[in-house]
Amino acid sequence: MILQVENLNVNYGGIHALKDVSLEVEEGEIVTIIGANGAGKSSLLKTISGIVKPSSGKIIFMGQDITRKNPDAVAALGIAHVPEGRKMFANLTVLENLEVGAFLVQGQSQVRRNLEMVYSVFPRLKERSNQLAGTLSGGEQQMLAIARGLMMRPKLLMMDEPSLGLAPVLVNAIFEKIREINREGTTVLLVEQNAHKALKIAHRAYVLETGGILISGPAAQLASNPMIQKAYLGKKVG
Amino acid sequence: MPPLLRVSHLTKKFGGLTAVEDFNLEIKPGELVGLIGPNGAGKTTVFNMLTGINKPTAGEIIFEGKKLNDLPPYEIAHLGIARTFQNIRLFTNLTVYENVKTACHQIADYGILDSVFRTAQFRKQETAINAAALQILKLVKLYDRKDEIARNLPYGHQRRLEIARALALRPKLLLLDEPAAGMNPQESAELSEFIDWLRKDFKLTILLIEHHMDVVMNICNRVIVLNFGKTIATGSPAEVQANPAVIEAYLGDEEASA
Repeated sequence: MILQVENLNVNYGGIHALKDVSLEVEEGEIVTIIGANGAGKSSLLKTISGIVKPSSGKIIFMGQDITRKNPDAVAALGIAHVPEGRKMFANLTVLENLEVGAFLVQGQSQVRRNLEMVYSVFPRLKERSNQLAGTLSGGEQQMLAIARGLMMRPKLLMMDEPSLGLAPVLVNAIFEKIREINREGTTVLLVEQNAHKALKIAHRAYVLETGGILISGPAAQLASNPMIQKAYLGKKVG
Repeated sequence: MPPLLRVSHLTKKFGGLTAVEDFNLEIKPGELVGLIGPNGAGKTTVFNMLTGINKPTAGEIIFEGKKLNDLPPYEIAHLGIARTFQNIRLFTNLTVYENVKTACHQIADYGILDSVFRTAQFRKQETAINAAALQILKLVKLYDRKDEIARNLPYGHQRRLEIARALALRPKLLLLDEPAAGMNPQESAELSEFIDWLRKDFKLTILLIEHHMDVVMNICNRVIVLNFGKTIATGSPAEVQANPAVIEAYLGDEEASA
């Protein structure tokens, strides 16, 4: 098991954002977390990466307790967090943004190798390497955000809504890339509003509702669950 | 009925890049028109020109018979065009309630002396602003969270707050830039109903940029499709969804058949 979250509780002020959340991610899996706005999906990723401190519970990553570690220490252990809404450095070039993603990587030759790997996954970014990130289209910005996360060669890649603001064709392209990244050996924890697409590429899924896990299981099984269809998939399934 | 908005031959060039080319649009009062297209097609640039943020390189924007081309954004807002932003623009450290109140200034016409001396005029209008802000928060279902700091709201609720702020301007024409981004199917279905209700009950005219095709299909009267700054299709939602050029540029095979 690469990641194990046990009875996690998070409070912001008076709000109980996560209630006894437990989940597991096996090495090599794509696990998705779906749920409505305010369910606590982003809070969960932020707590795993050390941005938010839990009030109780445990987070174990590759056998090590990371519950109270700071974000830089969590990243150094091999967890990359691609935030919601891309959050790139708009006034830096594509290449500079990618170099920022490799700040923990030792040695220029290793950074270069990682850069080549990232460019092979996202050739469009290579074409645009000297362009300012702020001038990229929405789809390219999302590719850059994922690529920046990959620059540290993470063992676990956590993505918060990679399909946000993307045209339908690009949504398909991004999900295909996630599958490709996973096939090459990176474990993925994916938060998505596009539950339909997320359940298609994920191995397992957790449904989060008002801070607690409502249901979990193999993605295909959840996709055909009538309750999930109604609440999270709209009428598109079938 | 004369159109509320008439846009003809609108073009915007940024240096060597033509972001929007020969864009034409007429919207009648009460219509809900969708503007779709791939990322980078020029949709937001159209909004930026309609609201005075970017000056058109060529073409004309006429709103209620008045030419808008050279007006600054605040005057255009005052004439009755309000918008939301794709990249949410809130006062992140103010509360939800305060964010809406700042947008209610159309109601207030007291001067600085009124506010310093807290005159009757000032107190009366402040009361009206408070009431208006609370009413709008009820409409967008954020009343329960009115005292929360805006940055602590989940993404989907921040989008609703954006709409609340635009409504506070009491616009005639509302421009919505990806209002359903970050919402799940259930939430975007609720948002569709809300937008449709706004159009009918508030007699609002709406121009909508949206990638969620279920929203576009359910509520738009007409749809315009942009690609690389050019209009590649216009028609009813069903017509554009069946248009091969639109499928190729925007939808992909799967979405078109879904």
